[in-house]
Amino acid sequence: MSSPEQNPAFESTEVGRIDSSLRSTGVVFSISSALWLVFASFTGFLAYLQLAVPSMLEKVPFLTYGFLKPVADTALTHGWVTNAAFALIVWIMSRLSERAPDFDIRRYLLVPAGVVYNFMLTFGILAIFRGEARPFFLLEIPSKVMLSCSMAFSLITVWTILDYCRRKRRTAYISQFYILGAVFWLAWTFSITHLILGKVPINGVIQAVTASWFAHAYLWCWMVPVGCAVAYYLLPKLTGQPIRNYKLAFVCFWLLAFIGIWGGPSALVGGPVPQWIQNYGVIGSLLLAVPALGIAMNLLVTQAYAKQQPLETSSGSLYSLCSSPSGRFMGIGLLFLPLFGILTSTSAHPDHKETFQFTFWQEGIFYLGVYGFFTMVALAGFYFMMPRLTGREWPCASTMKFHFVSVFVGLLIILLGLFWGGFAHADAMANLDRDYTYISFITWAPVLFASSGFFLVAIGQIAFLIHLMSLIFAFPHSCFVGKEGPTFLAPEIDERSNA
Amino acid sequence: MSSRFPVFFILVFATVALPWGILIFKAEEQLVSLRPSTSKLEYYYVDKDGNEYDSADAANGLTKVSRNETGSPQFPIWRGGNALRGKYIYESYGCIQCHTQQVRQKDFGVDIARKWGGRQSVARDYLFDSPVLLGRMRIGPDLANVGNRLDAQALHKHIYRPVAVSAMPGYPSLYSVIETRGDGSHTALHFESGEYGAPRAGWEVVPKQDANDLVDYLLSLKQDYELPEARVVKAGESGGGSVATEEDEFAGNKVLSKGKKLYNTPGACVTCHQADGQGNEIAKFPPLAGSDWVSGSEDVIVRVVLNGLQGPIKVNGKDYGTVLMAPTIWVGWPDEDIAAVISYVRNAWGNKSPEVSAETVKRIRGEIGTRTTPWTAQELEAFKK
Repeated sequence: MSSPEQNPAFESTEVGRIDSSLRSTGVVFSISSALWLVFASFTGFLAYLQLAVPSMLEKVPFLTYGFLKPVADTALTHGWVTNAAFALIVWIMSRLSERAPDFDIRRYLLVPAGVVYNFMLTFGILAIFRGEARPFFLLEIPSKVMLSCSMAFSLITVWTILDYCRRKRRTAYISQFYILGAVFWLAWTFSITHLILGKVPINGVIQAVTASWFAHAYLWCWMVPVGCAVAYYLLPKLTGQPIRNYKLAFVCFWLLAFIGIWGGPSALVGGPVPQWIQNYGVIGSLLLAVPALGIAMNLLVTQAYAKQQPLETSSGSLYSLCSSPSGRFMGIGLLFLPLFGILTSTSAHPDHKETFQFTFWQEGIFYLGVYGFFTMVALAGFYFMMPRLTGREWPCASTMKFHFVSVFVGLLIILLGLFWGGFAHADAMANLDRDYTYISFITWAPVLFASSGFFLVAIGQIAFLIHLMSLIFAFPHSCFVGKEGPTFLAPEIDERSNA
Repeated sequence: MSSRFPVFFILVFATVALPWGILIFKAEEQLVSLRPSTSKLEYYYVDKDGNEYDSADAANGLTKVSRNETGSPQFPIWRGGNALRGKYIYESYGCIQCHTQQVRQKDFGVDIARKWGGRQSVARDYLFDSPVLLGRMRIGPDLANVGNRLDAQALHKHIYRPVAVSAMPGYPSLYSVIETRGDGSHTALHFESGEYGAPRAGWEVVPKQDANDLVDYLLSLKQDYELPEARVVKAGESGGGSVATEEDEFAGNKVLSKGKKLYNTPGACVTCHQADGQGNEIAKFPPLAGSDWVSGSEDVIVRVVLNGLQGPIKVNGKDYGTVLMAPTIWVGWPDEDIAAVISYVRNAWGNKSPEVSAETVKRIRGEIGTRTTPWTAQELEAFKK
């Protein structure tokens, strides 16, 4: 399997035909998402480094923290998360509708959508560097640029619905529910929010309410559902076990659907917005722990069950957290979902907000969700998907190990730095005996620590990007000597084989 | 598990439509009626047919309705000119990544204890802000009231070269360091020799337009006024209590205490010259406290009050440009009231000049005759004895 030639046996199956028809889409979205992740991690590194060494780049104002932080966050979410989600959504949706396309609509709908989206996003990032950033978290890109992005979202939403409607089986998979929900939620919240902030003349705090609503919805109604769809789809294939409780999976979907979108205004607790809006936000965030724990429990129990009863195949145990690259990332990513839910939920409580609002603590929660949960699960998806789309094996096992170690260790360092910094920040802020500059002094070490984590992630991602390129373009190199390829698994197990 | 698409679609639509309708649409519905306000509300009563009454006892089944008290000054103040341009600089330099502009309630966090503001920020404070700059991170201190805490020099020095321990980068690109020629530029920053950030001898730091605008914007950040829903928190109070009444230092003098009341009438002197007599440097309203125009000859000040004054004008050595003062609500005031308010101004905030009598006002009215146009500074020089 170490040869870069394509696998003709796989090509001839129905699944193989579906996969190979998605090659162009997969290439566009996977390469662009990997590029954005490298860019986001590197700018994140530079941004946090400057909190520790503020005078470093002061001669170049557009590389100071105030410019780089929104660039890093935008590239991480709208660049990496959204592109990776598109790549995985299209693949999972096609697989689950079980039809190879008669007329390849994807090539004419999705590839242009992807190109337009990434082009506009680049334009938006340049606009931030030019000083046109908008002052709202995750909405920093100017509205006029982003409204054209929502056209790309609409194309992908339309394709997703079309693909769902022509599915072979009349029953639905849980992954399809998550994907359909997610594309709707993103397209709607995104267009509505940008219309309000960019076109409708609404002044004052309503803008802040809308922006906080969107930032929360982006994480919990787009990023998390896509992560869940990938996990629900991949975990049975990786473990050889069906999802333990398929009914609970649907219950949790509707819980997340009705709870997930409310929690935004909890970011404004204590601020200048009417109390009832804050209350909705706090309650919405507090309840979020329920679906998050439900989903995580269902997936983690499935994973644990597989460890007790490993499915024996000709090539040994099908699932192993250590040997399968997908399994490694998935196993770690799933652990962060309940953490993300619990931290989002507890940090919304007014007592907690009183101390930790406006500190690095909330940055820590954001990066825990994006890097910890989504990035890990999406990378698991990439490691599983890309060989099947291209029909080739990953060329290098040690690169994969290096990627995993650097991303995982980098993630831990980021989280440790930011949560430590959050504690120190909150403590120093409440200490009235100290001048406010004491905060810069006390958070110096944590911030420097966190920035080194971003650097590690960036290095790992560069390795991944090179690896991905050599897979897609079949660079003639290989470090697999006498080893079996890690990802091609003969039988693929359905997520509800016994449901 | 229903897989019927319409059902699924309607449910998913509801998950967006509900929070949208309740959170954002209802919030907009509630807040869209907010208007700038004086610090008091008036109440009146309406019946079912929409007739208005002044008292609750006038008829049965009346509902209490509030409206803004008419008059001025009304808050928040519309921000324009350089300060508005400075807001764009604030946005594009990403100041919001480290600074908030919101003061939380007294018992919620340490915002008021840290003297970031005298009261909680409320929705009305941000009425004219688009985009609103509440912020979500406090690596640096809150800036909702930075215009009360720091003066232009301190702000410029901090932006040019922040103190060494701060996590804030300097923005030297907003300043030119040039060789001093002659007396030097009048806008150059004043550094003591050897002060942190001072240029080498013979050189000076001159703010560029962007820096001046940014500082104008920062100086305009003041939530020092009171609103009906937000009172300044006094020591020992929890939450937003009522306004403590200020002691009247002129309680013994009928004329001065009447003058103080007239001065502070909404729409009168206080609108521009402020209750502390310091004026407003951004809007180019000159100070009255310590002003030689106020303390000098009574012939000058009475003429200014009666007919107004057209700039350019210099007060205490500072240039206030082509500011125009035109008589408004005091046009019809009797001579006694004009005399009282002038006497108050000549004796408040450390000013010590003789009071002006109603007879003097009457005499000067006669001398002015039918003239209605404002005086210029040059014309008034003739009356300075």
